[in-house]
Formats: sequence, structure tokens, C-alpha cells
Amino acid sequence: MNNDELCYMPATEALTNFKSRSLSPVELTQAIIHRAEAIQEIINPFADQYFDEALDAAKVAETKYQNSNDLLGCLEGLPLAVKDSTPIEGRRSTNGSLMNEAQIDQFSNPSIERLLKSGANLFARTTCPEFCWLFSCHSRMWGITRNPWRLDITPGGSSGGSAAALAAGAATIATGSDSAGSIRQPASQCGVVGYKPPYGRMPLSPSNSFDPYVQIGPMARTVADTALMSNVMSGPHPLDHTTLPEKLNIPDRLQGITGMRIAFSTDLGHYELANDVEREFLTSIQSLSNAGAKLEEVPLDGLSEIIRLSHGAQEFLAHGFLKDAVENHSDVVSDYVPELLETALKYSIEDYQRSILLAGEIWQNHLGPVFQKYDALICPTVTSPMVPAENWQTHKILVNDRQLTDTEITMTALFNLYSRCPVLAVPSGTTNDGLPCGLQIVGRPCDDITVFRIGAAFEIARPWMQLARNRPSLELMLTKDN
Amino acid sequence: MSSDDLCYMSASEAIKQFRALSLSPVELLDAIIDRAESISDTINPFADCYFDEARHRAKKAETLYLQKKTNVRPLEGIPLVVKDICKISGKRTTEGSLVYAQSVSQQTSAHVQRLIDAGANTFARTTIPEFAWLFTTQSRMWGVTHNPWKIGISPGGSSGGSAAALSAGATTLATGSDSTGSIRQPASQCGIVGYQAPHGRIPNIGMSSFNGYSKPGPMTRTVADCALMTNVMSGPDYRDHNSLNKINQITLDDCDLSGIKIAFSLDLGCYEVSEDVVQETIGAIEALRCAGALVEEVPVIWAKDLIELALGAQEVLFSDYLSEVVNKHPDLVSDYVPQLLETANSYPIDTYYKSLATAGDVWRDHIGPIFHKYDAFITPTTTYTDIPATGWQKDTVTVNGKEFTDTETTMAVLWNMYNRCPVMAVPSGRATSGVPTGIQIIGRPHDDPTVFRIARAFEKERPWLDCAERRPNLAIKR
Repeated sequence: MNNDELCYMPATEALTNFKSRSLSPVELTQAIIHRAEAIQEIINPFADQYFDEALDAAKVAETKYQNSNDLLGCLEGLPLAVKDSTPIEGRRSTNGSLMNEAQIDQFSNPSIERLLKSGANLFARTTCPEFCWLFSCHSRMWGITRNPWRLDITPGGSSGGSAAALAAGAATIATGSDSAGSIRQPASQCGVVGYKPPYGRMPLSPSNSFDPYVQIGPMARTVADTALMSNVMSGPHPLDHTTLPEKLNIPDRLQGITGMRIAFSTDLGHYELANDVEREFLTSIQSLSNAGAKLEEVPLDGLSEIIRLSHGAQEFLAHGFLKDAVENHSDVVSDYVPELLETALKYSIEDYQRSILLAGEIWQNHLGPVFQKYDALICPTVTSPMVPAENWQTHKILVNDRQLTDTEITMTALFNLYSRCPVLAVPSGTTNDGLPCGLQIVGRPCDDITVFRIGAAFEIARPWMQLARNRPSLELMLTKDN
Repeated sequence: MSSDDLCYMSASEAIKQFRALSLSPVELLDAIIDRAESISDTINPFADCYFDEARHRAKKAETLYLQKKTNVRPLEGIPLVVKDICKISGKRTTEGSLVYAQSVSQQTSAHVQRLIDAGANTFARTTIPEFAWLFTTQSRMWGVTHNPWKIGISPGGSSGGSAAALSAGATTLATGSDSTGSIRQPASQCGIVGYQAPHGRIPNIGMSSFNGYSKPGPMTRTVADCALMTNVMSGPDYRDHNSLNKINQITLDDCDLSGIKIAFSLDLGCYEVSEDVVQETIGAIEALRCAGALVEEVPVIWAKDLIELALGAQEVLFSDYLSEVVNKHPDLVSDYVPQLLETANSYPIDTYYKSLATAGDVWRDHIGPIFHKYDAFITPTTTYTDIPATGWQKDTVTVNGKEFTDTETTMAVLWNMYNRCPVMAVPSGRATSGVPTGIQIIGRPHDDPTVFRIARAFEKERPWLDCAERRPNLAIKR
């Protein structure tokens, strides 16, 4: 088996191979770490690394597979990268900030804890921008993370390190978190899969659990791997008050989508979409239609104000930590942090109040009826992937003839406000510049399974990284790989 | 059957008798309206009344029962009152304010629609304080509502009209809403049952759908009626993004509490509780032990700051709405409304985001572990009963020699913050003044059935309103 095959092997396939002993967790972990080392200098997706520890753990996993009597976790031996903002007991998570350089966590995020208890092998942490507050991925703490598809372009943010590692074959599975699009936008930028679960599906760290915008979620290269991770991470938790009551399992075998009614919108009535992204999106819609679903374009208007407020509500909630950073830690924070505070302060408590009042009415009048009629809604994830690796929040990107910020081209935050909607971000194709672009499959509140059904059918109809030709070309970096 | 028996008849019993044709919906409604009219002057629980159209509907319901149809709806012909903040299409909803005196609703609140669709017969609306923002029930719009147990004492607020009507036998069922205790505190004051379902259980459409603190809920005299209403009102609605998937219907078959573990706190470590409320709460705890539960006191050290944040979060959310109305209509609002705004504006804005982070931490460190060990948690609902009917938010009462506002005597708001917990308020006994006292039965997140099971067992051990001695003496004019 060549190295690329190992590095891009889906987790589901690796598990089958582990069980049949045609592959050892040691072999896989070695290949992944080898790849990680080869790309780190240029792409820089990794924060703290635990390679030696992971190799030891891989040996333990190997023994477990050899003695088939041993109790195997359902992710036993799979190399896992966890975002640097998510706490793990006894390890540091800096949240991309020198402020937290020495921060060792006392508690693990409960969803991550479940992955680790299921045998996933944590080998590294992945980079994020400071406080996870950019749609690009750079900080004084971790430097610049680049897109494996094109080094001057961002892998997205804030879960940019996880997305880049997956796209480069430098992790088998990864995690992210998403409060305005931080799983889905990087997934789109890098051509991988990211899942923002419904609020309450996956338990959160206590300081986040009462903020409906912030979700933790799986990132992977295939829909099946994403489902595998979701099934481990999801379910009620006694120490997170806000978890949903039922334990949902996404079945291994998902029904097809024949006869399913799916709505789509190219722009949510609000966004400016680049022509090549639109082309790939519409081709994707066509392939879903060919797969047997009934696709109908829905006119959406009246969403602009609630989209503005979905960012504004988050910006308001960020006042506290951004003020603290700028006022008390200006010597260590990244140069863009004062600007983040400036943006945040443009939104007030009135915007937050208004977001609460308006959200119910907009759902009742606009989105509720769409989801009443259709099983899901599909829209693009970002309107143009041409965001530079070192982009700042206020910098402009040219989309068609308009100058827009990365926030203004990322179509995700609405479904953080509508937090119960499950959203699966998958690749939709390749732009004229050779970059991936993506789409979001948005489900009815708490209807995760439908979203995965559509994702799985779409993956068969329009496959991405499973095919070698749909992977980024990393030759220059991998000269020392073989 | 005496008129008192009819007025205090449970909905569950009435339906049985309707079906057996031993009672007609017309007969029941007539008795209720008769009672309503006779207490209106003294207690004043009603806002707009729709007696004539309700009689017309009762007549239709009577026909349906007489036809012995098998598909008669679950609440067919049951008299219902709806709080004057819940909406009914084509009727006005004033929110207790002269500002909205002419405000006719274009749509019906989802939970009310379900009750109507189930056959409940809305014959009146119930009073609230202006914008539902007091723990008493008085306003320029509707005047002062009194407690049937003691004129001069408040029935509580904001669902004070509903609670007073139920305890006076002047309705069979009622609706309320609760964002800091507005169902549970009136239920406690009037000696009836009030239920705050987990957020999303009962759909909430429009403006308050995304405010997790604010929820509509049933108010009744019996636990069985509360289950009946909850079963009708709960379940997903596509227009409410936050509505939860349907759970199984609540049944009350199992009233044995053996194997059930209950934690309790008399004061959440920070409330000053009057001696009579303490005694009645201890009595209630004993009753639960008699019913077979293991009940243990747990130390609470984590509540004080959190309660302040919970109250503050609601005030911060409310302040904008309130200031807009006050500034536009200073001539119309009740004289206490500027004071409400002053309180709302007194909280620093960072209260809101602090409340989010702190809530998660305290749950993980303290409350989560309690519910991990125990099936439910019990506290008093209020610390003190004798709140004057004309009380304002900043007026104080004396509890154990110290001065407190009614906000400071109401132990409810924590469970608006922890809004996935089902909470049922039930009567625990009577204070020395004769006004009822109450407890809250707080369940694990989304575990409604256990709360109902405990409440039903408790009701059997320590019944209320079931006979003349346990009802308020209304001195009704004949």
C-alpha cells in the first residue's frame, strides 16, 4: 500500500482493515505522522504534537486488535487531531492566543472525551486563529496556516488547522468548533466534510453550553467517517444541561434519496456568489436530482437583517473576552485583535435583543415554511474561496465586481442562530483557480439523519477525495516523504 | 351536585361525566360563569370575558356528547381561561397595558390553538400586571387582582388572574406563562398546580420563541389535569425552531415512589424562608417519604450569584422593549412601569454573557451532580406568602425580621435559566395567615414523567382543594 493511500484512507476502511489485521494502527499512525512532519513547515496545520505518545498508544491498539478478546473501542487506533481551542484534561489548549500559552486544562470537553474513550488516538492539536475569531487561520501563537490546495490561500477558520490536516492526508479524523461557520467554511476551503450538529446534540464545555451559537463537531474526509464520529460524540450528558434528551444514531446504511424533496438557494437572497462557485453548486444540484431527489429552487428574501444579527449577536457576546484581551494583554495578542474588538463594539445589547425577537418571527414566516414543505435546504458554504492566508476580518475580497469581507462571503452564521438545524458541509467542486468550493446541507431542526442521507447520496454521485485526482498536489512538500 | 362541587370539579372528572352523560358542558359552564360573576368584584381575576360565545360552544359540545360520538376531542367542552398575554386571533390581548388596549391579535398562540383544537372552551381572559412584569397582579388596565384565600393579599404574578380563578373555582383550566416564576409563584400563592415544561416542549411562536427564559404552560387544580393539558399542548410545531420532538404522553399510572431519590433544599443556601413555609415544606418532605421516596437534604452553596445573573439576564433582555414603550407612552403606562425600567437598566450589560458562562459551570460542578444522584430536586416556591395585592416590585415585606422585595422571596428564576428542567409547582400547605404555601418539584432535563409521578404521589398523600375545608372561604353573595 503506498503512503498516499494510507494517508487518505477513510476511518471506516481503516477500522475494517484493523479488524481483519491487514493493517495495523501502528502502520497507519506512522504514515500519518510522517505526512504531518513533511507538511508542517509549509502548511502548518498543527499546534501541539504528541507523536511519541501516539505511537505508543498505536502499539497498545495493535495488541488489542491482535488479541481479539480485548474490548475494542469503536474508534480504536484511529489517528485524531483536535482543535487547539477545545480543552482536554492535562493538556494545554491556547485558543490560538499567547495569553493562554501556559494554560493546562482541568477538564476535557465531553464530546472529545467520548472520542478518546472510544479509542481514537490523539496525535496532535490543530491551529486556530486567536480566540477562533477569524475566517482565516493565523496568530502570533501559531503563525500562518495555509491551504494545501494553494499556499497563498487560507484553509479557512477558525478550524483551519483541522481542515488543512485532513486535506493534506495528515490526519484520519479531526474535530472543529463552529459559532459562525468555523467548521463549515474551512471544510469548504479545503474540500473536506464538516458537520455542525444541532444545538444540544453533542455536549459542550460548560462555558459554552448556554450559548446556542457555539457547537463542537466532527471533521473528516467522508460522510461515513463524519457519521461515525457523530455517533460517538452525540448524546445526552449529565454535566451539560443543554444536551438533547435522545441519543441519536446515524445508521451505517442510509436510505437513498429517491423522492426526497430538497429546496435550494444559491444566495439565501442576500449573498454575492462567484460565477465558478455558482457553476459548481448548480452542477451539484443537478447530480442530486439525478440521484432521484426532487430539487426546487426557493425564493428567499427578508433574511438580510437576521443574517446581520446572527453575526451581531455573536459579536455582542464577544465583548467581554475581546475587551479583556485588548485592555489587559495588548503586549501578547495578535495585531488584528484590536480590530476584532472594534468590530464587536459596533454591535450592542439592542442588536442581541433584536436577534432574539426577530429570530422567532423570521423562522415562522420564512424558514419554518420551507422546512415544512422540504426535507432539507441546500445552499453554498462560501461565495468565493479566494481569501488570502493572512487575511484580516476587514480586508476585502473581490467577488464578481464587489469588494466584500470574508464574513460577507461566508453563508454559514444564519444556521448558528437557527442552532437546532443540523448542517453538513461537503465539497461541491473546484473553482477556476483550482480551489475546492462547498455546499451546506441544512436539515430540519434536530433531523440529523436526513442530512447524512443526502450527504451520502451526494458523495456517491459526486465523489471528492476518495479519488486520487481530487486531492491537492503536495509533491513539493513530500520530496522527503518516500 | 352542589355548585361548589361543579366549580372545583377537575377536567378529568368532568370529561368522564360528559361521556357518561351525567353532566353536560352547558351545566358546567353555567356553574363556572355563575361563580366567575359572583367573585369578579372582590377578586377580579378576569380581563375580557366571552360568556355568550362560550355558552354557544358549550351547547355544541353537549350535542356531540349526546350523539355519543367516539371521536370527541380530549378537552371538548372544558371551560378554559387564557392569560391576557397569550394571543387569540380576532380578540384583543392587552399585555395588561392601556398601550395595547385596542390591540387585536392576528394569530393565536400555538399552545392556545392546541387547547382550542382539543375542544377547550375559552370563556374569559385572565388579568396580569403590565407587561407581565410583577409578582403581583395589578395595572391601570385591569385594576388589582386579589387572592381568593385572603382579600388584600396578592394571588401572585404575572399569571395571577389564572391562579386566582382556579383557586376560586371560577374556571376548570387555565394558561399561564413563566419567565422568572410567573406560573409557579401564583400557583403557590393560590394553592394550585402550575407547570413549567422544558424549553421547547410546548411550542412558542414569534417574539418569545428564542428567549429560553420565557415559556407558556398549564395551570390547573390537579396533577392529572396538568398532565391532560400538557399532553395537548406539547409536541413539535414547524413554526417554532426550538420545539422538541414529541415525547410519549404522560400517564399517571405509577404513583409508587419506592426507588425514587429526591434531593431538597429549604433555602438554596441564600433565601430567608419564613418559619411557616419551612414547616409546610418539611411536612411535604415527610409526605414524600411516606409515599416511598428517599428524600435527602443537600447543601447548596452555589446559588446566590447565579440567581442574580439569571434575574439580570432577563432584565437586560427586557430593557430595550420596555424603554421603547415607556418613552412612547409615558401617559398610558401604570405608575410602577418607569420603576421597572429603572430596575431593568440597573444591570450591567455584561450580566448577559456572564450568565451564559456561569450557568454552564455551575451545572457541571454542582447541579448536574445532584441530578446525577437524585431523580428530582425540591425547594419551596416562595419564602413568604403575605405579599400585598397592591405591592410593587420595590416594596418590601418582612421575613424573619428582615426586609425583602417579592423578587427576593420568589425562588423560581433559577429554573428559567436551567430551562430544560421540568418544574411543577404544587401546594405544600398553608401559612399561619391562611394563604397557601408551595413547593417546586424540579426534574432532570427533559424528564417530565418523573416530575408528574412525584407530584401525583404527593397529591395523594397531601391533597388540596379536594373538599370544602381545603378550599378558600369565598363568602359568595347569592
